[in-house]
Amino acid sequence: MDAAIVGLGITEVGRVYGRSAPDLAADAVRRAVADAGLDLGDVDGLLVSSGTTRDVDVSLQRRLGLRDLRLLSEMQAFGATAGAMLAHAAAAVTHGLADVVACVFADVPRRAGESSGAAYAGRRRYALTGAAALRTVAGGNPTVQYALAARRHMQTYGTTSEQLGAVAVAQRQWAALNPLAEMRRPLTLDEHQTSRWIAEPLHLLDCCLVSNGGAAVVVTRGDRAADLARPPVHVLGLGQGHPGYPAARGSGFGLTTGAARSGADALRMAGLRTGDVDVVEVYDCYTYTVVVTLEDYGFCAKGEGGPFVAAGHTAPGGTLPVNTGGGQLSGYYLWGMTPLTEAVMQARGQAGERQVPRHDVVMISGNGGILDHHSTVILSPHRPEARR
Amino acid sequence: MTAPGPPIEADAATAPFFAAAARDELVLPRCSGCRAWHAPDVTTCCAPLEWAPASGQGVVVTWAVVHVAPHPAFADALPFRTALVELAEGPWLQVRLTGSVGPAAGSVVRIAFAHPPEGASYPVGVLEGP
Repeated sequence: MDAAIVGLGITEVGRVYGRSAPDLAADAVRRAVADAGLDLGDVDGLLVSSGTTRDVDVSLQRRLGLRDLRLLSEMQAFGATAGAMLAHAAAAVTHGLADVVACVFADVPRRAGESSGAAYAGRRRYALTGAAALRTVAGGNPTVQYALAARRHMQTYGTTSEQLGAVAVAQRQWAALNPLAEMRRPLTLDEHQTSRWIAEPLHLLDCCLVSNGGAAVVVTRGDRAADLARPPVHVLGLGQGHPGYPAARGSGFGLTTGAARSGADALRMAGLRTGDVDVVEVYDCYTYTVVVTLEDYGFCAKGEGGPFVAAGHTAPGGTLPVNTGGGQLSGYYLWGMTPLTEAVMQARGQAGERQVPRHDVVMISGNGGILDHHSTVILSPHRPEARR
Repeated sequence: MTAPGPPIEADAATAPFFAAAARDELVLPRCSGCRAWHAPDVTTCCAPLEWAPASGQGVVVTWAVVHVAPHPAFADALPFRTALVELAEGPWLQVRLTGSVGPAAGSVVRIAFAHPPEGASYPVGVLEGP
């Protein structure tokens, strides 16, 4: 593997109205290509992904006026898609299937005058037929399913709501340092504890933001990367884990996730151990996913994720900076592009006031479905010495 | 028994499940080869599956208290509890818990059935005992 991220593009993000997802996706690609010091004509590979609107597809090529592409696909593993796109792009440039690949995500779940909850509920498709309808009449939906997962973790390992709150508080501290973040006002644990219930044990402040916007990265071969405009960010490790939990006795649902396999594979590929990782950008659709992912990656023992965060390790000044831009809870919610974009800024050493001092190894997670899909990426400003 | 939520219907694969629910009976897919029991959405094992009567007894694996309506048709039923129940045969079933008593992990649950005025009958969970 010899691939590097050389361009990063983020559109205006948040309560951005009047623009379609394909429009934002095209904007993100243009920004990422310009950031790399390249022209759109240099792009010969395009990987696209949609959120709720499902309309960012291969027609983005025509919208951008890209000619004679050698690689073009729409990809979808929900929150794990950014890592999956990056893996596909990295393999493609390493093996010469393409030279310059743009990977993009954009979504516009929010509508003017509507709450965050309504934004997703209004676009939700309810299963009303067959076995899947049983979850609907049981009162399930994605947030409720994460509440079920979190409750199982809490019951089994003693994780507390206050510990989940510590995730939200620490990330808000990071967000205060990030001009791109949507929620920058300091947050107290008491505010977390008294925020309204969405689905117990999850409070409102256990749940991520809902944002409109788009983000893209440009990937090229590692040996080309040094000549471009920005400090290259090399891909050291990749992994995925899709547990396919059985709905039956013995299922690890809520206790362990695809992060265990995915993280181990990515570290093995990079030839690194958790102790070598300087900063972690975790997919944090809910506070609970931060706790369980840190455990499954091996940054603490199973069941110790809550105490680990509550001890302050992940906050500014802590031993393991996590979600240094505020994450999806306080920064912005662009699915797997939230952790990936922040990781690129940190690895470049260009994250401004929130820049962590040591950023040689950055580990990124993606999580999709109800803990059904996981991707891991390990990035570094240093090119791997021994190529495989 | 109240039945908040939208009307649902069987598909070809689950017609026997919902027909049994209308008779207040729980059936689950069971492998005709290895005799393993499966959740209602499972369609593949080592041999053909057949619908077989299940005990209707189980224990709570995990639960949540729903405060925001997951579908507009739940708006008048908030808050309510939903749970993943591990049936005695092994498969998990997600059901709305009836009654107002809070469960705990391991609470014993009996499967009962809601018969809404519109749409198919479906299983719900009734907490048993103290």
